[in-house]
Amino acid sequence: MLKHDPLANVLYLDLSKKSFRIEQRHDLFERHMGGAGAAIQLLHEECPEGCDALSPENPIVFAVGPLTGLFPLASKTVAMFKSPHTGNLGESHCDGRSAIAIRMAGYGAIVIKGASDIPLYIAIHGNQIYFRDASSLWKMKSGFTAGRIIRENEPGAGLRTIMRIGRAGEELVSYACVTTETYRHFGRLGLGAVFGSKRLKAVVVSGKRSLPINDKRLYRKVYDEIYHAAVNSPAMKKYHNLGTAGNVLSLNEFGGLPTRNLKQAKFEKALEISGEAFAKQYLGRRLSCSHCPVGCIHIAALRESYEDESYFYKTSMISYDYELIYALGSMLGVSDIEGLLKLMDRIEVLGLDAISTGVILAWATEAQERGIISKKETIEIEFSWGNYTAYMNAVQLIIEQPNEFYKRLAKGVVHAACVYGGEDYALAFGGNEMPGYHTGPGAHIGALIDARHSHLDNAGYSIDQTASAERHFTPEGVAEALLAEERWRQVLSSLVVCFFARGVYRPDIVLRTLQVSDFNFSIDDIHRIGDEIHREKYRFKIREGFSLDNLRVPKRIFETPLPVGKLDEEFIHKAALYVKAEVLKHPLRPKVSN
Amino acid sequence: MRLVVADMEKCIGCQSCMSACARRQGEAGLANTCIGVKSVGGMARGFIAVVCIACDAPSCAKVCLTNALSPREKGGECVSVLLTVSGVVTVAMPVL
Ligand code: SF4
Ligand code: SF4
Ligand code: SF4
Repeated sequence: MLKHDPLANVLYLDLSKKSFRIEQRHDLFERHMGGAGAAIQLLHEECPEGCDALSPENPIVFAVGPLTGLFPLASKTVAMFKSPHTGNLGESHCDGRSAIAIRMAGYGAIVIKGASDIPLYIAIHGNQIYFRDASSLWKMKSGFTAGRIIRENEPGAGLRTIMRIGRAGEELVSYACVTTETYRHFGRLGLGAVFGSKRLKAVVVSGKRSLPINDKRLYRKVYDEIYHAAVNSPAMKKYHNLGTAGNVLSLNEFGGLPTRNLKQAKFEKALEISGEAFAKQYLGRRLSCSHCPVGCIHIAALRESYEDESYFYKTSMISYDYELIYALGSMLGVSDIEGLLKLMDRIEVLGLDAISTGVILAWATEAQERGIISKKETIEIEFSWGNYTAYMNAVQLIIEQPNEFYKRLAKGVVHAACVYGGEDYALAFGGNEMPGYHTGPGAHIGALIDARHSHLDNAGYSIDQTASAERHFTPEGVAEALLAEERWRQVLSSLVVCFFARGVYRPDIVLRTLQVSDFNFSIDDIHRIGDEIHREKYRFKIREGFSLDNLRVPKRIFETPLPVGKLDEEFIHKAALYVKAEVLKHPLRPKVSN
Repeated sequence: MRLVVADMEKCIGCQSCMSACARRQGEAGLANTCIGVKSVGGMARGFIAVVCIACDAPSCAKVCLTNALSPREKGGECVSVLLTVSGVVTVAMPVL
């Protein structure tokens, strides 16, 4: 890498002492590129084995990559931490303005440790670092308002990110998210609760600088290639037009849209909550992450009247996408689009991960239907499919946690099912609630074995949808395809490239973008690095107690017919054996010392 | 052809224009960009652009996919010079 690239700067913040230091870590970035690669190393260095995820010892690591600020669509920030939700590897990616702001402030990574005695937020404006009292923002009903106040207080408009938590993070709900730029999230695995445990309300970062490059002509040439490939690709047009919500109808038709706690995989009212319906009736604005021309973020404008006053209206701008429509729509049988938007808005205001929340409420609905919980536990709420008002009331109680039942719900579906039963239909993999794909063996095995237990690391659903039956639908075939995808995605998430641009950032293009910052890798090198990062994640997971030998599989996924392939315990067992042999093929590296 | 801020309602806040202006000057990053796009008090409400008086063949407009920015016939002086020399910035209004 170039000697003066500010990427090498790692900012270490200590919330207990309210102090900071900056270290030059060329070693980290030269070897692991950045993003997920750098973050997993920092996590190994900073997170003591077996620590309590909500203790001051648990670090929060943010990392960006060498392409950030130089090339389009390299705008993700990778967060790593120990997850309070699963007790294992916590990894979550977010975009908005976050990555560009961190890079422009002059850092490749930020590590936050300790815990504050009073609520505070951190403001990082280039090399000026401030710890600011956030007592007046703590327990504020709406995360939006807290964001607005910070916005007024801090400089750097247009060049900054504001990452903040809502009530859910303050109350340590184990799947609380961190929100940036009003609509984007470090969604999964509970980073919000880790913020909350440190009494950290928000992190603001801003900066403006030039970045070193070694060849202006090459830079412009490669830039133009990527830019044109990105804006002309059909995939990007699809994301711009309807966004990921465009997948609702196709997944439903395929028979892979989990519905009513996956009792079905087709929602008869999918048309009413499709991406097309949202766009026609409510689309109010499109947004983009910094330095990305695609603009896949879709915002609905919902006009509501005040109940007590005639001719008084407010308009809420609410972000929607496929995952929200699945988790809060089909999974809960909600087909009233306006009700669905209200539920999305409530969850946004409180700062919960929408996927986990939807899956937990779906379990609660079935559990009440089957009589294993009653109105005594729910405090008079009657869950029923499609009743969004009941769900809105319930999420408020998940925050307030007035009794044992809601305390359990605030820890996730596995915790709740351990106490009340209904484990066969508690839809979580590795402790993380299922993403919206019942497409075949790829989707479920993918979620069981990937580092985050989500759909994000190996896109199993896409293997299901594109696989040729004879090759892929063997346990080994599925496992191998998933591993190959996950390893390559380690490269992309170390360069913090948006996965939507994976078709653009092919290996040869990646090499050329890296040359501009003087990273001279070969194709073999980057594949090796991807493989290494994957192993390093597994090393952390195994260290913290994860095992491929005793995967918890909710029976429901075997009961509801899959659109392609067949799945049973035996199939999963064989796939897991294959993954285990692959991951352990080379001994996992010993702990890297500081 | 110089620059027109045509319709900021179309702006998606992608800030591609900001880095395009820097590249035009042979730079990477945002230190010397002559255009700034920021939200009107939060992402929900849309964006404003604070721009220069426009150079010839504006790179910022070329990358603006939504046509929030577009090149116009007449314009002032090359702004990167204005900006770096005297720091003059004008808030662009739609040009009729
Ligand atoms: S494609 Fe969408 S999510 Fe990805 S960087 Fe662009 S706007 Fe952000
Ligand atoms: S018109 Fe102004 S902002 Fe646009 S490229 Fe030229 S100097 Fe930069
Ligand atoms: S003016 Fe155009 S290029 Fe600039 S941020 Fe808006 S949409 Fe993007």
